[in-house]
Amino acid sequence: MNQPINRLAVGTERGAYRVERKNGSWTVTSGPRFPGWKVSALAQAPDGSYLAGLGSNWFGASVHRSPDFETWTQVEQGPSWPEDSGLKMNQIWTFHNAGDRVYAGVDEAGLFFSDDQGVTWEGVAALNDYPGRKDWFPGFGGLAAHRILSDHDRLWVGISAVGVFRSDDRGESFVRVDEGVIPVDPSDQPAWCVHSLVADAEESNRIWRQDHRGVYRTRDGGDKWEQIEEGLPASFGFVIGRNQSNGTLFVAPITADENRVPVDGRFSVYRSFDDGDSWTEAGVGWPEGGQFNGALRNAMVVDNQGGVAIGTTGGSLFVTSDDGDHWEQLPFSLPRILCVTTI
Amino acid sequence: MPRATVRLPRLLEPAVGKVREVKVVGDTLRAAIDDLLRQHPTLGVHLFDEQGALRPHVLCFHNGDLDREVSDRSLADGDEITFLQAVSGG
Repeated sequence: MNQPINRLAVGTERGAYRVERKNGSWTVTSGPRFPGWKVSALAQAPDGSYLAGLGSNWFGASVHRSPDFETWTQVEQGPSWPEDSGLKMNQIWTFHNAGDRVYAGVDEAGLFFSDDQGVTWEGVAALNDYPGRKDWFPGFGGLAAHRILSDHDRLWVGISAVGVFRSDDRGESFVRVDEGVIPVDPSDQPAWCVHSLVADAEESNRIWRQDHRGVYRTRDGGDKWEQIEEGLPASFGFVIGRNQSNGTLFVAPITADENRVPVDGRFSVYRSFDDGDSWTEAGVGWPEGGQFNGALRNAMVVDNQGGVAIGTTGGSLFVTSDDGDHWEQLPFSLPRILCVTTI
Repeated sequence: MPRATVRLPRLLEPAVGKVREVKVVGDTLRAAIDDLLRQHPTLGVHLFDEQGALRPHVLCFHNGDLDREVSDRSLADGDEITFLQAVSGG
């Protein structure tokens, strides 16, 4: 029996919100926290404390911690670039737990880690000083390290618009793994614009990728990718997720790079039951009257118990508790949604 | 040593809580800001970039005069230093 999603943390262009299902009805139970701030990353550290990545058009980026989602404290030694690097800390894009370690991916593109639940942070030199980074080029959303996967000593980091980097030695060295993916820059120094990644929790060599240039999968940790788009109304999009208990995959197609709205104004999630060989629209409950907003890369969460929640740039939230057979649009609208996670 | 008051915008609440005014000491504007950052180290990342420059859309006023360099201009007792976010965009 699937356990319903009952509690979400949502980061938006204007603050963070906690939304909950109580007595069968969804309501906003906390927020906005950090009013006026972009909340671009929300997560729980290994010890259960909450982490928030904040950004601002005026005041830079910072990491904040909370024991309860209500009272927050900014960390004093957050991810930061050395003065002589010439780099700017523009945004905290994502947090990722790997055992007792927390990683953060940031813009300008970089990887940082914390071994004390997010209180202090250090850079991962092998990626942050990667040869040739002076030639890295930002995507529309910035030069962002926005996706991190891990399995024991192995790490994968997705950077827009650069590509995917893999480490087999816990971040001591990295190699680029994009072969088979159509580059966004096909020059002699090609660039790839990975949008999101999700791995099989049991077999981490199996990774699925929503890329600027389509949907892909690899069976060998990224050495070789193949395109998997049969049944999708469009290959562009940002999110990709997987129910680790039964392998169901989820994407949310968007018309095209130059027209970032759902095809024909029909916002919905597509799913695959065969590792991406084929895709079909997921279930019922999608708005019939037109929904001309897409979902950003951190705006979907899959809870591995049949629950999926996805937020849109228009501030709508959709939730399913049965792997996408039935969807419910939550009865409120938030600011532009940047990230969604279960808490 | 001159004592001055620093006023902070409400938007910086995630860094300093409800604090809107901070009493600082320093012979110069720069020294007074150094004192501010000693008292509230979480402000540094929000006011200044990695190279120590005032962030592009942050304004620093000394007694009403804009000072984007956060210079070594002298302070006197009772001076006011105000940080604001610029009105950017339309």
